[in-house]
Amino acid sequence: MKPVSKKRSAVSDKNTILRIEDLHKVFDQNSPHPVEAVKGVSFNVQENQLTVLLGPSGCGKSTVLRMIAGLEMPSNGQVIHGDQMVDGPSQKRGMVFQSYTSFEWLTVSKNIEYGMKLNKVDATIRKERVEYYLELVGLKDFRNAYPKQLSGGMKQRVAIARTLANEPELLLMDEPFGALDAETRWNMQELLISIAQSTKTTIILVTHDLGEALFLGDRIIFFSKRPANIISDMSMSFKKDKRFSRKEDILSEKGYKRAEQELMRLMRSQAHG
Amino acid sequence: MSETKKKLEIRKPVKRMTSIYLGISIWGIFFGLWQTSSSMGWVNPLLVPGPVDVLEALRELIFERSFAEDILHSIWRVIVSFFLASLVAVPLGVMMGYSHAVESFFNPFVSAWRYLPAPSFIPVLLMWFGTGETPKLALLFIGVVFFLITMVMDYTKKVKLELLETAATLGATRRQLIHTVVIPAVLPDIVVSMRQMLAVTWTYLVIAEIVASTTGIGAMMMRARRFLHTDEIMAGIMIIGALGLIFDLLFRFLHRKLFAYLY
Repeated sequence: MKPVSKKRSAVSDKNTILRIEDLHKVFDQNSPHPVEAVKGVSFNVQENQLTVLLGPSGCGKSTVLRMIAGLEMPSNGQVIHGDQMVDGPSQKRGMVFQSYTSFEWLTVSKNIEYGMKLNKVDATIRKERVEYYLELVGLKDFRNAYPKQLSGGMKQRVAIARTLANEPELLLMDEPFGALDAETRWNMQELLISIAQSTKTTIILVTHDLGEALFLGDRIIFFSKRPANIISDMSMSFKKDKRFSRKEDILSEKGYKRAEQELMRLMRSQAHG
Repeated sequence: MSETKKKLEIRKPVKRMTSIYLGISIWGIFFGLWQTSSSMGWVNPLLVPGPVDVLEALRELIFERSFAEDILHSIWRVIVSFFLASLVAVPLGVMMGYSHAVESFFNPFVSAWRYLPAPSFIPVLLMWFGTGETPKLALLFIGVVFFLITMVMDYTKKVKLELLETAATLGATRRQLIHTVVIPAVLPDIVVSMRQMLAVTWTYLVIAEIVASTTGIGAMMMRARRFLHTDEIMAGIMIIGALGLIFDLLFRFLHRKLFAYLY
């Protein structure tokens, strides 16, 4: 294994689950107007951590996430998950999107069961896991409802439960709460914190919402405006390896203000125009 | 009611019963005007018989002559040809909507055929297939299949990419993507496009039967024309309209039953 750069990571090598090496992405490479979206991004991701990719809207951070998922191929560089190079989507890397992706023709339970069925998980285990995740995301009473009958927040709960039930090594989330109203978003953020705590899943979450990044992230990687490259890689050390289950509790932390100011300054430096 | 309140009434839904009554009244007015103009002698009764005469002609056609057989024959033609067209169009349309390669191969062909009016093939169909059932079924098939392919393809393309990507990150293979996402996602729209194209099939049916047939609703109407039986022609038109409506309602009903999760 290639040695991990000291600057980017203080954690030892054996916890590294994902290595991103000099990632580049140019869209429409052969057209007269190629678009450079990502320019030389490298970082490692540690197991059981919640890493937030933060940056101005349209900066290319989602493209980084999509390349990690294998939904987009890098123009240059590579993503290494475990000891394998990512060359396409896989059930090891589950993804939750901003737009609603519930399968309308399936009930909530069947939606959660969907991935396990594809992967031929035993029927009894499937049933157990559906129950477990229905409980976890608080949708027990809606097991037989169809997505049409659910609110936006509930649809995202289904999406999260469906991905987790598949037991991926990585949970990738692309602005998962971006389409929700403020109250629901806050609700979902706290739900995600409790999920991260109870399932120990490694999570990479893309957002352009500073407050969301500060509340959720164990680590925040800040991207420049397009083409995206890493400007800052902050460990939220003020959290002292603990997660705050309630958003108001974090506001009184000493390190919080400093991190917020630092990120705001970065945001301003990358503002458009 | 105040003026502002009235202004806000724009596009407000009316009660279900009100809307049914309104829908019935337009027909009441239509038949009323028709009956009045023929009773009052405003129109030539030979060319425009009143609705009562038309209904009497319809009764006579069905119960005293063999019109029921003609109707069944026409329905059979529509069902067989539409079934065959769907059998080709639905799988092909889905494949074209899903795969760019398949689309690139078939689409130049399919789009060109859409612009050829199906009735222009009648002479050659008659030369190839004689006067039996085949040329009629072929005409209906040609008239519908290319439009249906295109509609199914367009709907398939509208299946949200995120749905496919979600399934892929849950472990779906290419095959599983088609079976567990593309097809269930597009099926309600396929039934809608089939409903719309079935109406077109009825149009071609009448053309086929008027031009080259001795059986069916259209053929009966052409026979009636020879004897100046306008009432029978109009009875034929009524039956075609009624059948079209019934098939449309059947498809709507089917859609509600099969895709209850959408309602």
